[in-house]
Amino acid sequence: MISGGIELIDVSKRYSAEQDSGVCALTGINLSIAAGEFVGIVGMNGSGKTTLARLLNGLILPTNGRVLVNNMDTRHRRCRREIRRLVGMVFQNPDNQLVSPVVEEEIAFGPENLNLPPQEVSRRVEEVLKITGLGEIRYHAPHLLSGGQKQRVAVASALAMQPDYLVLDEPTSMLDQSCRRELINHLHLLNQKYGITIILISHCMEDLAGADRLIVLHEGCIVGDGAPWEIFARESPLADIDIKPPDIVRLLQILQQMGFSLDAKVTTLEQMVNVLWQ
Amino acid sequence: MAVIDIKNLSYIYGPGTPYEKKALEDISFSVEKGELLGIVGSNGSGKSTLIQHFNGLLSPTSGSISVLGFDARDKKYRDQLWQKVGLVFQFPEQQLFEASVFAELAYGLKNMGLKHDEIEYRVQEALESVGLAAKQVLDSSPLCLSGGMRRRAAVACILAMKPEILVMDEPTAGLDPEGCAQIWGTIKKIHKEQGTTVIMVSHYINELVLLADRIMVLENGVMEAWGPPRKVLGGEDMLNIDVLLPDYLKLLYELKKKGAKINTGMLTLEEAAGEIARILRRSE
Repeated sequence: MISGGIELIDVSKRYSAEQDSGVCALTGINLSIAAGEFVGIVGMNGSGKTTLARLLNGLILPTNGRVLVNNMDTRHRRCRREIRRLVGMVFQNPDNQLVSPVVEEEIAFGPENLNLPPQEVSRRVEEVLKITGLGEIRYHAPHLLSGGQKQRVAVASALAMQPDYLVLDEPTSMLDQSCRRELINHLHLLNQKYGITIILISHCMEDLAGADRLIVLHEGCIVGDGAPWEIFARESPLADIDIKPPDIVRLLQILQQMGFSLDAKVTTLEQMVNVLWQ
Repeated sequence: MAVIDIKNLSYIYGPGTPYEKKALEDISFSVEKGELLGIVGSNGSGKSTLIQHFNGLLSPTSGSISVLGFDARDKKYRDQLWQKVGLVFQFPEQQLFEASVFAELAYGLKNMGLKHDEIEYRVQEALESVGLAAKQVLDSSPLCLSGGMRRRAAVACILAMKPEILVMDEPTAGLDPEGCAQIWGTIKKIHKEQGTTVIMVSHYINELVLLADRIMVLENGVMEAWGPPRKVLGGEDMLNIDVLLPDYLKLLYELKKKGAKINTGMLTLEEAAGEIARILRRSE
């Protein structure tokens, strides 16, 4: 087996203490995410997206099956500390995960809890501030920042742990259009320049249009897995699930219906501009 | 007739302190009676600061503001303005505090000095207009409602006061598509049936351009554009602040920047597709 990557083998999760009752949030999930991928996860409310995200770093454990992160099983208690360092999490509402009164202390919080020497902690804080471009607001109070800035502080705090994987659960749902684009561009940068694997859950298809791969969840099962253009083009999985393809794909579909032959793989604004303006 | 008239308004937070921040700079415009005005801008552009001037919650650092004929800077008119200008804040469901939905809606009405019969009638009417079944929700605690219903109950609190001007700050933020549609439906109904002047702050520009008579674009406290949506989008004003636009409009702007002779004054995705088709045909 390859050493890098996250592997879910026949994973089910049931939220109930008793057998045979309660809600099955996920059933029979088999999924492997390779190191360096940018994966998008879509699905309606209640489709199991958040459950899946929380399984990835052992916040919750599968009822059946196994979750392996770099070949370490999340069920093994002695692996969990390392797994949680490797898999950084960013949630929907940054207010829920920011704890410190100053941005740079917030970023230092994780590394400090790894019992790293102070020099190493400050080195990491400097590095992360540089990567995320938050240097200007390092002495600010997180709760007084804008939503987009807060979300980037949350990403920065996760990065300070030097994770291999970053799992983001609807990080853009509270952001406006421009902050949303900024955060997504930033994630692509982290993915391409620093090789961090990104697992991004979002309701907003524009966020996911640039991903390498999209996974569609429906009622606890994976019903679609492919490149964004394949997922958006194929009517079946998304039609049931009531997810509108991104603007650009809908635009492309209208133009195709009008008889223009355009590259069917286009999903992002940048690609569309290039196709139309050669 | 102008219901709000603002001239050279500026607002500075914490003047004279290290945190001094100019939030609004030299804003002038007027809002007509019965109009639906959309205010668009990114986070920190000054939208929320501006709307708090409409009922005297904030008083301008310089410049003048007249609302329904009252000088909003003058504290003696504030009681009247608070009743006539209904302000729905962002995430209004967070400010619900009564034990039942009825008590919540009645709170503002009691403070207006209305009689019990009138209060009951208005509560029913307001719940109906936001699409909540009065019978089901009247006695339940607001905290037992779903997020979308709670938002609608909070909006109903303001509607029950029958404001002449309804101001809403991001009323659809954080709601799922269904919840958004319900809120938009309510706003349309209030605006059409009761002729209420509505001012909407939103960053969902694609919804706003379809409904608004005029839109204002704020950026860093400065008014960058003002006018009917088609004219604002078709003009040059938004070329540098197109980050606010949905992708289908941003695409038109990107093509325009590259030199395409394209009309960017499109409101819907279908219109935008039509315009691109026109350009493609011409280049063939």
